[in-house]
Amino acid sequence: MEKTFEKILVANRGEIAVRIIRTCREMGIVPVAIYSDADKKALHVRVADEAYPIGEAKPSASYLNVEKIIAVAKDCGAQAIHPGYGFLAENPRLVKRCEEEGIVFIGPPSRAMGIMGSKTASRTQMVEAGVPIIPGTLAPIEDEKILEREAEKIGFPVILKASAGGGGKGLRLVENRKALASAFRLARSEAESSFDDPSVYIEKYIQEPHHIEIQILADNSGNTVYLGERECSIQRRYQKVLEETPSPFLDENTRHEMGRAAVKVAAAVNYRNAGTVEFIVDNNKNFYFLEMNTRLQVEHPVTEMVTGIDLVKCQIEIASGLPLAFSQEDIKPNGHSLQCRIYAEDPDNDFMPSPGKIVHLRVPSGGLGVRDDNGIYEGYVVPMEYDPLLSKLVTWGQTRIEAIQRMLRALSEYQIYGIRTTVPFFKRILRHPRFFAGDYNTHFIPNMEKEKDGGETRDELVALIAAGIKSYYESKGGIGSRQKSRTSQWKTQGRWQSMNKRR
Amino acid sequence: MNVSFWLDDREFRLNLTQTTKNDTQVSMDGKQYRVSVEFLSEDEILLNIDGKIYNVIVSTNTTSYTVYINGRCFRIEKKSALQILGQKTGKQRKTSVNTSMPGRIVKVLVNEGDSVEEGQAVLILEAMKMQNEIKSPQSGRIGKICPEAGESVETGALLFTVD
Repeated sequence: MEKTFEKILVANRGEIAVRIIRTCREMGIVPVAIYSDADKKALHVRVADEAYPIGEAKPSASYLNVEKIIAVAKDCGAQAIHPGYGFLAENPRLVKRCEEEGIVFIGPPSRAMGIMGSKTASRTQMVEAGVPIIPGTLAPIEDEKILEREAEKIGFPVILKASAGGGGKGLRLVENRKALASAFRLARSEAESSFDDPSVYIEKYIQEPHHIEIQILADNSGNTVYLGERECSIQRRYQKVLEETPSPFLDENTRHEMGRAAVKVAAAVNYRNAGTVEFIVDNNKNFYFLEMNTRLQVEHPVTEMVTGIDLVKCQIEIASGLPLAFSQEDIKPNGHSLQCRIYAEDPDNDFMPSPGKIVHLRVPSGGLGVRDDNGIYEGYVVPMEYDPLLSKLVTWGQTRIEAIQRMLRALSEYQIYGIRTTVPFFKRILRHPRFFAGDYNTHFIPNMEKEKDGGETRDELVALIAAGIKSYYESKGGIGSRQKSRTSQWKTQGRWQSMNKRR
Repeated sequence: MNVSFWLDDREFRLNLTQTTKNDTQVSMDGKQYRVSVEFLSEDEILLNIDGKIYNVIVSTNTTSYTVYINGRCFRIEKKSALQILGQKTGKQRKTSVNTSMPGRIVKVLVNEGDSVEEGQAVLILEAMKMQNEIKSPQSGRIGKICPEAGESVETGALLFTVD
């Protein structure tokens, strides 16, 4: 293996920090974690070689604090910083500070990030490059008067988006004129608190759309390749919840056309490193550039599963100046892969966040084609300050049906108790006839939620029987009620061994 | 043995008869279930209901059972019917709105004493980076608003009352 870096600082937390640390280890690189006061016992700290505190729980004081992170990197001698996704991953200021301090930023150069970070600037650039975009304003909306005029011009329904946004935050669908003003205020307020920038723009809402993205990699020697698509149309409140590759909607021709368009997008801004070009595809398979995410994506593992390529490893190699080890012709996706984003949210109560202690955890057996990228452990307290993503559960199969069945098997084994999670919600999606048939668009979840969920009734019946059984054994004073000794078996074992030694 | 539970304001009556050491006959809503029970630990129960296997976790406190099954969580109340009825009549005039999740109050949209419509947003609660409008469950006058903007609240904390 070619030499890259000795030590990398992972400027993130949770499951993505754990995932990056794993690749660092596989490459013989020392992984360094950072943590806020809320994350002293987080898994990403436990699996790191070195870890440094960076301040209070609130993100602005810790994971969003560029100067603290730069200072830690310099103090510990890290040659590079991997930002993961979210937090500072798309913040040109961190890139610029890295450049000034002689630290390698594992991601694109600041100029490409700056253009793509502003949805308006990126769309202007794409118009010039000849990549199709969706009708809308290219500039942030100043006030409600302009908003109303633009909305009437484009025609309802329209969508409001945070100029600095991503990940579904600060995004509002507006059906009619009446709802416009309040949606504008909420979108601005959410944009302000999530991205420190209240700018919002407006665009036409495409009916029955598919949300499909292309993964690209670009090295410093002028090679840019695309690694197939990810179908991301299973969304709830504009947040992706389940992704798959290949898309059951695309044909081979459109797939490669989109791949070539993505390479063109990257070339237009001199892109380097890993990036994702997101497209909206209408029901006639016309595709429009939506945005480019200048970072690793949450759903990157499905691409890894079908290509066999570790994207984080590629990111590190590219950042260290190495050329890509493969060309476009070498990339031959094999089989099918799905990813479920398991969140600490209650699917039976409008997806309210559910932070708290995980009192019981059993993760699915790996087996063939199962990958569980989680950031949790039994006894871990999921903090309320951060994104509720607990795990990315990924399966691979030779066919789509095999990948789905494997995912259902893995979900049936996944027990995360103490908090509420979206595990039952995924079982419902995967068993849905329309999902199973691969016949869906971004309206799938809102439509499914209008239907009755049969699973809950059966679970409720079993829960009642279980409570009955428990109360029966309690009344008998039997095993279910026995006050067990709280001493851990390990402690007992340890004491017994030390007594033996003394003899 | 007869037991009575409440779940989401519905009452369920169960009759349990132990047939052998680990087997119990359960009847509910006129249906019979043959249940075989293995306690894996104090809280973890392996249930076999008419041949189907369920891994469940049941934790107990004085008023309820919390049951985890297939990734879902059910809170099953032990409370007597009288207690539930008492709470219901108490609810009709003055309603307290408590938070079902911890979070931070971003904005308070109305003042104490204001009249609100049913479904009108009273405050905005941010948890895990999403902003949620907390709405009034009924039309009326806002009595008390407990937290101030910027304050953090724990699960179950009183947010506001509406008369």
